[in-house]
Amino acid sequence: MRDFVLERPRSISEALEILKNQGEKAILKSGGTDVIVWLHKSLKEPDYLVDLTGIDQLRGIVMNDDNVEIRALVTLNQVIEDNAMNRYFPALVQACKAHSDPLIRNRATVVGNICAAVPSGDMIAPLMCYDAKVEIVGSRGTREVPVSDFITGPKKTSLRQEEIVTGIRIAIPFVETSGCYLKATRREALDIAQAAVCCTLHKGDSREFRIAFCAVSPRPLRAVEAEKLLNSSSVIDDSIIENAARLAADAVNPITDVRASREYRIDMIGELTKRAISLCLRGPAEEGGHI
Amino acid sequence: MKDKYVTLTINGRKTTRVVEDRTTLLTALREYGVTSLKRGCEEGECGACTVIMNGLPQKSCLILAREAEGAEILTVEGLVEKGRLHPIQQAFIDEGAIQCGYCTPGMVMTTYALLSKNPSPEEEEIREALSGNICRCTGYLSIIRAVKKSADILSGKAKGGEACEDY
Repeated sequence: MRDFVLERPRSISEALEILKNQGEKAILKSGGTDVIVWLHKSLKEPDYLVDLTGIDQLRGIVMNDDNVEIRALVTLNQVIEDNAMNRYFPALVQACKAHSDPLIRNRATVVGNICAAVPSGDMIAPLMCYDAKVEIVGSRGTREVPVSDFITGPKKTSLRQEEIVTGIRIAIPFVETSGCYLKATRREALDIAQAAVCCTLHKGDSREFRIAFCAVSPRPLRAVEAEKLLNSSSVIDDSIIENAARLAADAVNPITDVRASREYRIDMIGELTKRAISLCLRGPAEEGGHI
Repeated sequence: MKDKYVTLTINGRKTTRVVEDRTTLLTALREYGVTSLKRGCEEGECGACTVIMNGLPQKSCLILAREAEGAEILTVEGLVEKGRLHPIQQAFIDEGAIQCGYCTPGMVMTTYALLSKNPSPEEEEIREALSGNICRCTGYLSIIRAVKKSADILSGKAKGGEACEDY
C-alpha cells in the first residue's frame, strides 16, 4: 500500500478544514471496507486519507417527528438491529442483510455504500424506493440531494471536493407499508449482485408501488412505467404483474461482465420484479433476500 | 513516512505500538506477536484475520491500526486461560474441524462472538454467522458440529473433552 497521511478529525468542521487545505490530494473514508481495499490495490493513491470514524456528530440513527436520519457512521448491522428501521423500512433492512457478510457489516456503512456509487451497491435501490435525501455539508453550508441525483454514474457522485456526506434522511411512512429486496447472486454471502430488485408498497388512501433496480444500469433507476401500470390498476392480478415485470425488464440497460451476461440480467429483472410485487402484496412480514 | 503511535488493549494487556499511517490492524497485531490471526486475502473476503474489536467480530485487514486507538482487541491467544484451551478451541479439535488450520483462528473468534450473543444458535444461525469465514479444506460440516458442541459445553448441556494442559 502506498504511503499516505492519515488524518483523524474529531469534528465535521475539522474535517472540512483538512479537505479545504489538501484539495484533490485527500479522500474520505468511513467504514473503510471499500476504501482500504482500493488503497491495497492502488486503485486510489491519495496523499491524505481523512478518516471520519472519530467524529461523534456522525453517529446514530436519529428519529425526528416525520423523518429518520441515518448518519454517516451508521453500520449495516446497526440498521439491521434497529426496531424503527425494521418497522418502517423493511426493504432497506433486507438489503443490509444481503450485503457482504456479518463481519464486514460491523464496519460497512449505509452512507459509504452510496458514496462508493458502484452500480451494484445494495443500498441504492431501497433508498430510491424510499425517496431518500443525501445530506451534504461543505464550507459554503449544507445542501440536500435526492439519491437519484447524488449518484451520477459508476463510481461518480455529485459530491464536491470540499464536501462531506453527513447522513441520509428518509421520510417516515405514516401508512401501512410492505417492502422487499430480492438479490440474485451465485452464493448467499460475500457476493455482489448479478441483478437485484427492490419493491415497496405504501397502502394509504391510494396504493403506491415503487420499484428500483441494482446492478443493471449505470445510474440509479426506478421502474417508472411498471409503477404507473401497477398504481393505475384497481386490481392486481397475475396478468398485471406479468405486464409490470415486462415493463421493468424493458427499462434496464445492463452490461455483460464476469458475474452475469446482459441477457441473463434482463431475464432476472423480469422474474425478480414478479416475485417482489407478489411478496409486497402478501404483506409486511414477507422476507426477501438472496435468490 | 513518519512513525505514529497507537495505544490499545490486546487480550487484556494495554500496549503502545509504533505504526505507520498505512499499517493495518492485522499487520500491527502480527508484529506485536499475536500471530493466531492470519494474513489471507487482505481484502476482506476470507475472514482469516478476524478479531473481536470492542465486542464486535471484524476483519482486521480492513482496519487501519490507528483506528484502533483505545480499542479492546480479543484474539485466540486471549481465550487460553492458564494454558488451558477454551472450550471452543477444544471442540474444534474434538470434532476434527481443523485441517490446514489457516481459517481456524478466525472461525473460533466468530464462533466466540456468536455464542456470546446467542448461546444456543440454530444451525441456520451458525451458517449465517460463519458466512464471512471461508474454509478451503471443505470442512464446513465439522466446523458447524464444533460450534454446536461449543454451545452445548458453554451452556452446560454437555461435558467438554479434557483440555490439553500443556498447550
